[in-house]
Amino acid sequence: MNFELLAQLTITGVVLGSFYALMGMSFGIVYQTSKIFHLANAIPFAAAGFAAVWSAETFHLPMFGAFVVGLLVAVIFGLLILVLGYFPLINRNATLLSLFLVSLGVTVAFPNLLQIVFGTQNKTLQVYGADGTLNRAFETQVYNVGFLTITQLDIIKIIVCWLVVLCVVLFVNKTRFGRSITALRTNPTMAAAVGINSKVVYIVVFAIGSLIAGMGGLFVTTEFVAYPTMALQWTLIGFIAVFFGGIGSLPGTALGGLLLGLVSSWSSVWLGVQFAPVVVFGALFIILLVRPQGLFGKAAA
Amino acid sequence: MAYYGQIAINILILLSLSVSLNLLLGYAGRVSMAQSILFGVGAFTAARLVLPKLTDTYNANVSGVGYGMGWPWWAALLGAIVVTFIAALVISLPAVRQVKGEYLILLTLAFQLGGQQVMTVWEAVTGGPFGVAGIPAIKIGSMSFSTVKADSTVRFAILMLIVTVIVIAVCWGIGESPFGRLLKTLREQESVLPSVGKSPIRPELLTFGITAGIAGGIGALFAFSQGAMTPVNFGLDLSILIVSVVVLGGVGNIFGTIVGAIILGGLDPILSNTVGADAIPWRAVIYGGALVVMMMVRPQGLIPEGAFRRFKKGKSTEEMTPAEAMESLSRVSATHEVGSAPALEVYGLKKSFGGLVAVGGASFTIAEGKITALIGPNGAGKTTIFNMITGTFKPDEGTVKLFGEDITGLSVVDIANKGIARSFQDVRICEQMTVLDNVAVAVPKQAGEGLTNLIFRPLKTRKVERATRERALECLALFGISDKANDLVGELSYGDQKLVAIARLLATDADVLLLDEPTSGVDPANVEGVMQGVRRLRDLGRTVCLVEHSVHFVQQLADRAVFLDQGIVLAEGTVDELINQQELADLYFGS
Amino acid sequence: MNSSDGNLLEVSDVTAGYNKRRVITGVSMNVKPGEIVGVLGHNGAGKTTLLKCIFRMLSIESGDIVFDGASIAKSSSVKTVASGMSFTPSERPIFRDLTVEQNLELGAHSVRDRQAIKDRMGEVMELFPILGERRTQLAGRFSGGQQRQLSVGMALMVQPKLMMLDEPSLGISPTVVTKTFATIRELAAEKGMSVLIVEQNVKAMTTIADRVYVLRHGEMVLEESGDAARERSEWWHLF
Repeated sequence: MNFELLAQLTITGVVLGSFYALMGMSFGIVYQTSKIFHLANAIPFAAAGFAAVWSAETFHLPMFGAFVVGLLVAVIFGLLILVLGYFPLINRNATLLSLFLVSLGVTVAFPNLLQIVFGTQNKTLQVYGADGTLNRAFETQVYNVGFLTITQLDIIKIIVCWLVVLCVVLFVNKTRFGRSITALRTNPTMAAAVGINSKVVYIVVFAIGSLIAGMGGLFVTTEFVAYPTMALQWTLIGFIAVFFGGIGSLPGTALGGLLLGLVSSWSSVWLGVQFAPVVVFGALFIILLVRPQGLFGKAAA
Repeated sequence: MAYYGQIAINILILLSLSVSLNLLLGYAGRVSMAQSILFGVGAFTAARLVLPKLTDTYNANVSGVGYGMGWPWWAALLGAIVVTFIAALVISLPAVRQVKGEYLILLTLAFQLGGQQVMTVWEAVTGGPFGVAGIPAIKIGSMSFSTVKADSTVRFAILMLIVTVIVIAVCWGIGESPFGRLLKTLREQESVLPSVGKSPIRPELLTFGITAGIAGGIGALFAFSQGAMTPVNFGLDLSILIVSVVVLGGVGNIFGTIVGAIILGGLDPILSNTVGADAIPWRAVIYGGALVVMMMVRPQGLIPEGAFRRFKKGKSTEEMTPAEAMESLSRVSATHEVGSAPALEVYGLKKSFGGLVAVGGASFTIAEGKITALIGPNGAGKTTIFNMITGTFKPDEGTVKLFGEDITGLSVVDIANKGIARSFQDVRICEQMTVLDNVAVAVPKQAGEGLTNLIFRPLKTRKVERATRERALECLALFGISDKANDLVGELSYGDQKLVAIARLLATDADVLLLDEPTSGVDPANVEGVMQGVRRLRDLGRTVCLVEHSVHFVQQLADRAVFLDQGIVLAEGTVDELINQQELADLYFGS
Repeated sequence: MNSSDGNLLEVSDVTAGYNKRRVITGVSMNVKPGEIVGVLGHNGAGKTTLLKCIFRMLSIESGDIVFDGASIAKSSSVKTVASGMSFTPSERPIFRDLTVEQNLELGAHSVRDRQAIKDRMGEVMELFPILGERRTQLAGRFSGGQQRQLSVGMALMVQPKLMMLDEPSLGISPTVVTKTFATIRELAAEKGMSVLIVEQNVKAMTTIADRVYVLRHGEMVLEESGDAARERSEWWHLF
């Protein structure tokens, strides 16, 4: 085994795994609080990317300004789905299947709407320079450390993703509101008894989840391009990270995501990098067969 | 002409894929997001099987892989169906043991998205992003069926129509059969199946396999007709479209699916003429939006299940009186000698949950042909004991004997088949099914529940089904509700629903019936009706053991009682004997 | 505000259930200010359902509920705590994965005044010393009786006019039960608080109740004074 290759693959795996962990956080916090299979988490992801590109071009915003707009749009769309799509059904005690079907409808309609409005070409994030011309917003620098290669964006990605994981975990465990999220999740009767408003908790949780999904979309847009169907595979990865890493455990989900990233990166030696989906699917398949609650999840009572 | 032929073919393909998904989603209530990729698996499998063998003198096509196994088209079709069937069984394996539907959604979603990605890069099998071309068309005699040439398009459309009719007939046949009844029960109240001695795993797996197999077969036909295809044809949007057709049309309802397919399939050419290139995304916006709106406004779909129920009522048989039903149902049990052993014996049953002792060593016997109640203060372990007898929990220690046979630790399904059936405190009745079907599903040994019988022995199946329905009617007649046999259970009062649940128990033919709080949730006016129903069970010679918290009701209902506290039996006897013991009263009401 | 015959809580002819299940039918009862009222009955009689209806966690089919002069039959449970009612469930009455302090803090979820929360927490810890000693321990580690104490403490954090307890004796040894009930009686007297207790443990309940009701299979079958209940020897037919 070529040590240099292994080391490089590990770096790639960590970068990938960090992004998986980010997407896992996004879906995880929404799913474990509300139990809704929120496939429509893909919408804030894509919306952020498109909003950033569009606002940079239209309003001559600098890159960070475009990011802010993107994140705002992501949160707004996520909350719209919750309030207009899910709440009416929850009020009627609808089944989780009905909620999923609403999510499905939104998930198929939105990217196609994007395609109608923005066309099918890939959208590069471009900002106006001092000379008034549109240039690509971010050109990543490549660093070579000995035999290893890593890009500037990779480093930023790792830092941001784990910062987000840390923030979310700290928020849930250390803040008063975060504790009310845990309260609602672990003991809904008692939560109602002390007056916790589940709708308010859902709104905050969805806002956080959509914000993080938006960050994911911005990463992909900045590093590559934005395109209508950009969100689904990453949204799915988020789901897999949760079910693989551990339902009901946010740190478990993050670690699960990291593990998935590493495993799929290492496996590219034998399978070729394009077959990474097979590895991820295989890992999920095995875990669900052997330990359905996930690697770090708690067994059902 | 060929233009309309192509439109018809597209609609028919969508229809076939949807009707088959309806079997899984509509009847069994399981969501699969992989119908599109399975369609593709069938297509590529058939393509590789049917393409001619590579010989020295045959040059491979420039685009994609141009050679294969050289099989005749019908063999390739069969091969495609088999491969897709097996693939589906494999994917769904982890999900099948989980009650939560999300596992199947996740697995099929991952398979759909990941599978399409793999197809796009797996050049050896699928030709990568360029796909496969040069697939020979179906040739019967001198006629070829494909959409490549204008004149054969219409021919293929007719072929596709015949295939679709066959698919509809097959799915309808399966859905409306006793097997289909199992699926519907699976959808509505999964836990009921093991409690009447039938495992839910095989039906679920088989159904997913069939749904996939049909999709694979249609995929093969698609490949033959097109002559060429790429992985792009088999994306997630198509899976969602198929789900939409089923849901919008009305889940569990083939006619609704047909209407849904025609509407959504027909949207494509209409939109092409109005918005041109954006037709596909516009259609997606429409059916995505329609899904959302439907769930809000009319979740049962355009044509809800059971809409044609009134037309299916059939001949009205003379209704049996309870007395006649009693005559018909009385019998001496053939599985054991009368009076050879107590109906149920429990020795030293123990169960702890994480350090907390729920049952600390319970021993008692239940006499045959009587109504015995388990009573005791809260936390006495009554329900846990019930659960250990029926196999829901495995005892930590102790034995359970049914007419002298040791049944400790057996599975729920096995115990039910040995002759113990239980009802549930929360009734667990299938609201979207008829009263008759609810009871009929419990009748044991139905030929029609096995697919082999359905296919190869239709006459026997029909005969057995007639007998099953008669038996179910008898059970209903005993409780005086046979006139409601064709009503949807959801329309009945709660008291009547409880009676249906008891009739369901009776239909299992079990000798020992365990009733979990039979009167709970029944409003005061209907309680006596339920209690009468329970007494009729005993009058039939069945052994009844029940858990009932109201001593007042137990006094009216039970012949004997077993007093439990903290999971230990303190006394056995008639109810009056027990309530006259001061120590028991002190225990029950505190001292 | 109406006086409602001086009743703090008045339940009139309430019928309720879940979906098609009917759990309580035509139930009427009331609680006066400063009273300790017990609702007795067998398992499944509808006692918890009654409390949930009063607390507004469950919608009612028909009838009315008036609390502190205002009809609350249509309001939601989120407002109930703020209006002066507390509810302590019979099972899992605390948050097991959180510490004692965090539990008490959550008990005061509806309380705005930070200082008040601090002061009340101090009071509760004085009342139940074990809570103060083990304030940073996870509630799930405590014994049944200690968890009950914590649950009562959580209810006290909102200084309720009406404290509702669902089977507070569940899972606790008889001596601890006696102590707990005695504490409740003292608290009620001290703070002028009304207490509505749902119980299966007849003897414990009758020791402190001013009045008792008996619920059987969803119907109110008896109402009598605490004294009469203490004298009563025949309870079987009521359960």
